[in-house]
Amino acid sequence: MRSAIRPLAPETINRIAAGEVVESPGSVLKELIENSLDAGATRIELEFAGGGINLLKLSDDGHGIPREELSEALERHSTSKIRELTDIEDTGTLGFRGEALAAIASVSLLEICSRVEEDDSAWAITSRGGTVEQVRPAARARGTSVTVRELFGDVPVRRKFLKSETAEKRRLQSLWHTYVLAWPELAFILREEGRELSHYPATTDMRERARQILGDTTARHMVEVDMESEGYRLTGLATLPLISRGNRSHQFLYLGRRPIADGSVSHAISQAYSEMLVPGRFPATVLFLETPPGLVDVNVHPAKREVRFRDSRRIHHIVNRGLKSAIHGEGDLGQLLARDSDLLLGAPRSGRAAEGDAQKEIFGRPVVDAPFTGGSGGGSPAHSSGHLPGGKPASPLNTRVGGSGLFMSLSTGEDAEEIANSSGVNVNDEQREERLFWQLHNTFILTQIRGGLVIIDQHNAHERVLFDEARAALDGEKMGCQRLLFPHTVELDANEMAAWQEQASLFSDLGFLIEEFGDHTLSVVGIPDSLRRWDDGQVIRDILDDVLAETGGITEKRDRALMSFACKSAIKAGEGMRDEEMRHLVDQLFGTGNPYTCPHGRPIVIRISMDELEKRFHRTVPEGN
Amino acid sequence: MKITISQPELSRLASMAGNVVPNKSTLPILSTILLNASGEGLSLSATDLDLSIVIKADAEIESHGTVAIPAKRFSDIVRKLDSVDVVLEQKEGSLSISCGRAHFQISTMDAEDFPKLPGTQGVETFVAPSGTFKNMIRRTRFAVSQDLARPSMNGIFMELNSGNITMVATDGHRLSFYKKPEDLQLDNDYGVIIPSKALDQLMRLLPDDGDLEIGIGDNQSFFKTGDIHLFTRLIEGPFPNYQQVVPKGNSKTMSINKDALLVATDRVATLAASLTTRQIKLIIQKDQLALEVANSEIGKAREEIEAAYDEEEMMVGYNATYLLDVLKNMDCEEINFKLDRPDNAGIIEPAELEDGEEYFSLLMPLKLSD
Repeated sequence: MRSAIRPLAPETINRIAAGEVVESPGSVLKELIENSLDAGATRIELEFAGGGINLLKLSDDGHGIPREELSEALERHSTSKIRELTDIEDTGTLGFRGEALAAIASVSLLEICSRVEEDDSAWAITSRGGTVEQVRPAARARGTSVTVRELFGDVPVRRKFLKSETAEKRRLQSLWHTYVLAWPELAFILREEGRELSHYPATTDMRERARQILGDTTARHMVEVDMESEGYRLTGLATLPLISRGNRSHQFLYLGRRPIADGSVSHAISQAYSEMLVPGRFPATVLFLETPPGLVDVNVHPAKREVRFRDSRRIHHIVNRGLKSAIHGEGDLGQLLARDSDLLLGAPRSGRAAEGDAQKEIFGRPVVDAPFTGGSGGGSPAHSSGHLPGGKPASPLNTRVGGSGLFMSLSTGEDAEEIANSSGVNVNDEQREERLFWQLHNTFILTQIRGGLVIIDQHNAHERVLFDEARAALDGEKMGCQRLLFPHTVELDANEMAAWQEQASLFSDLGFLIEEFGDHTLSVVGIPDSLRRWDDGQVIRDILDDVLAETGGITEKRDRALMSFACKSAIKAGEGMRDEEMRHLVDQLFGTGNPYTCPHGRPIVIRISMDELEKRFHRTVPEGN
Repeated sequence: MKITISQPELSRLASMAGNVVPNKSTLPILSTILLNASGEGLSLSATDLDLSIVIKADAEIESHGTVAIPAKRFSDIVRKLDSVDVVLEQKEGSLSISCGRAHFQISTMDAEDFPKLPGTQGVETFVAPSGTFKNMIRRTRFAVSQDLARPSMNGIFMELNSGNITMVATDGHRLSFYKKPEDLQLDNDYGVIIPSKALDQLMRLLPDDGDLEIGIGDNQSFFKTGDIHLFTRLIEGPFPNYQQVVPKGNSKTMSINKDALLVATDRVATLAASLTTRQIKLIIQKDQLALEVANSEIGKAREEIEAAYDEEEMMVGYNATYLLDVLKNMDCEEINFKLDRPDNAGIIEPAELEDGEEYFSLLMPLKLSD
C-alpha cells in the first residue's frame, strides 16, 4: 500500500535535524558553550554526569534571554544572531543557524533558566522531547543555565551510537579544553557530579592559559607566532622543536576563535617542523587564523567544525611561514635552547615522549630535581600583555619563552654567545694553551663553557652544517667538486635513470660531476669536495630514492635528498678528529640557522651546567643545612 | 722456560712487538706476545693475523719453553724496571719477572692458542738497500687511500723488476709515484700491494742504512732487517691502471721554490681547514703565483709568491691538505708544477732528480665554485 506524501510534523523535523547537529554530549556542549560565548559570558561553568549523557548543565553569566523569547529559543531556526542570509558571511558570532537548541530539545529533557539584567527575576522553561511547557518563574543571577538530561533518552537508536560514558567524558573534556584555550579572558569551571575537576581563572595572558591546559613545560617552550599577509593573519603559540608529542592532540586551530580542523594546516605545521622533528613527532600549537571577509565558508556543516577556505594554498603558506619564522625568529632558538639547560638535559631522544611531565634523562638516568625547574611552577611569565587572540590589537603574546624562574640560577644570555662563538670558550690567558676541545670515543666533542660543559654529537653537527651548505648550494653558492682520477661507475635501473635525468642539475649543484655512460650506467668523474663516503655510489641511489619517493612536494623531496647527502657526507661516529677540525666544525655549526637539531630532528648539543655537575657530585649543600 | 736478559734490550723488544698487537681484538690470544726460548735463542712474536712480527734476541737461556703473555702489561712492567738483568721464569699458568728486588708474577695464556705464523719457505727473496726502500715508502704513502670500500688502494703498489723499484699510491684524488733504478737480483717481475699497516711498521722498523731482505709469495710478503722479521698479508689487486691516468701532455710549467710555496700554502690554508671544504685557489700569472682561500663564513686569505711561469694565465683549485701533503714530501729546493687545463690533473715534481729516478705527485683539481 502506498503511503501518502505529507509534510512532517515539526517534532519529526527537529529530530531529523538533531541527527546532524546533535550526535553526542560533546556536540551538545559545543552548541551550548557557543551560545554562552556569544552571550558575552565572563564565567562559564559546566557540570556533567554519566559522561554528559545523563546530565549536562552549562551555566554562564552572559546577557541572558528575556522571558518573552524563552519559548522561541526552542523553535527551529530561531536565532538572535542573524536576521538575513547575507549576515552569515560576516557573522562575528559562533552560532547562527538557529537550529541547535530546538534540535537538542527534541532529543532530551531540556531546561533553560535565564535572567536578563533588567528583569527582577529569572524565568525557566522546560521541554520534554520537544514538547515545550509553560514559562515559569525561577531564581538565579544574570545569565543563562541550560540543563540537558537524558540525552537521546527516547531515541534508543541514537543512544546506541553513543560511546561508553568514559569515552564520552573524554571527548567532552577535550572539547571543553579546546574552548578554554581560545578564551583565556573567561573563567571556566568544570564539575562532574558536583566534584570540581578543573577551575581555570580568567587571565589576560594567552601563555598562562596555555600553561593551564598544556602544562608548564610545553607552555614555557612555546614561542609566539604572528604573521600577517594580504589580509590573512596567523597568531598564537607554537612549541620549540625539542618539545614534541607522539600525535597531533596538542594542535589547536581556530578560525577567529572558532575551533576548526583543516588538513592543509596540519600539513603546513608538519612541514614547518619537518627538519627539526623526527617523523612521528608533532609540535604543540595553538593557532588563530583570521581571513579577509568573504574568503571562508563556515556554513559547510552544521557542526561548523570544517570550514572551506577559498584559497587553501595561501593558508598553507602563511601557517608554514608563520611557524618557521617564529621558531627561527631572530636567533631565538639558539639563544633560548643554549640557555635552557633544563631543556637540553631533558632533550627528547628521538621517538620518545617528551611532554612536559615526561621524565628527564641524562646518560639514560632520570634527572632528579633538575636544578633549574624550581620555582617555575605556577609563576606566570613576567611581561604579559593583555591581548587576547582573535582580537584586533597586535602582539598578543609578548612574553619571552621561559620567562618564569627557569633561568634564575643562570647568568642569562651570555652562555649562548659563548657557545656560538667557540673561541669565546672561557679561558683566561694562562689557560689559553690548554686544549679547548676533546673528542669522546671519537663520537662526541666536549668543550667547556663558562657555565659548564657542552657535548656535541659530531655526526649530527656535521650533518646540520652540510645540510645548510647543500641548501645554500641550490640557491647559488655551488659546492666544490673534487675531480677523480678513476671515475666511479654507478648502475641504475630505468626509474632511477629517469630520476637522474630529471634531477641532473641537483647533482651538479651539490658538486657531482656525472656523465651518462650507456643506458643504465653513470660515470662519476667528480664528487662533492665534502663527501666523505662514496660507499660504492650509495649516496647517488639514496638521493634518487628520495626524489623518486611518492610523497611530498618538490621542496620536501629536495630537502630529503639533501638530508641523504648530508648524512653520507658527514663525519661518522667513530672517526677521529683533529683539534682544528673540531674547532672549525663547532664554528660552522653555530653559524647555521639551527645548531640544536640535525636535519632529521635529532639533538646536536647537550649542555650540562656546573650547577648540575656540582649537584651530582653532592658539592652543593641543600638549602637549610 | 727460564731466561736472563738485560732490561733495556727486553724493553725495546717488548715495545717493538707490542706495536703489532691489535688494540682491540675479539681473539684474546692476539693481545699477547709469544715468548719462545729454544736452542735457537729467544724470540718474541706478535700478530694481528694480517701483520706479524718475529724478533730474535740474545738471552741467557737456562731452560726452554713457550709462553703467551699479555702484551700491554708485560711491556709496562718491563719498561719500569731498573736497567739491569731481568729474569723471566715460566710457572704454572704464569710468568714471574724478577729484576733486582722487584718481583712480578703475571698470568699467561695458553701458548698453544697462539696463531701459527707464516714461514719464509718457497718465496723468492732478494736484497734492497733499507734506506732507499724506507725513503720511497715515506714519499709515496701519503696518497694511500683510507677508503675501505676500495681495498686495492689501501696500500702502496710496489713494482719490482731486476732494474727498478717503483712505488705508487693513490686515493683517486691524488697519486704519488716514485721509481728508482736498483739492481735487484730477481728472476721474476712482481707487482704487489702492501697494506698501510705494514707500511707503518716498516717506517718504524727499517734502519736508514744496511740491507733489507724482501721475500714475496703468493699473498704474503716478508721483510727482514737484522733480527726482525715482518710478515704481511698482501692486498689483492688489481691496483688501478694508474699509467693510463697520468697525463703526458702537461706542457705549462711553473717553477717555484718548494719551501716558499709550502709555507705560504700552510699559512693561507688556515682558512681552509674545515671538514667540509679545503679548497685553495692557485692563480698563476706571469712569474707570480697567488694563493687564495675564500670562505663565505670564515673569511678570505691571499698570498703571492714569486714563480717562473711564462704561459697563459690560469686559475686552478686544489684541496689544500692534498697540496700540503705533496709539498711536505718533496725533498728538494725547486719544484716544477706542470699544468694543462684547470680541470685536468696537475703534476708536481722536483726540479732535479738523480739519474734514472722518477718522482712526481699528481693532484686532481677541485672545480672552483663560481
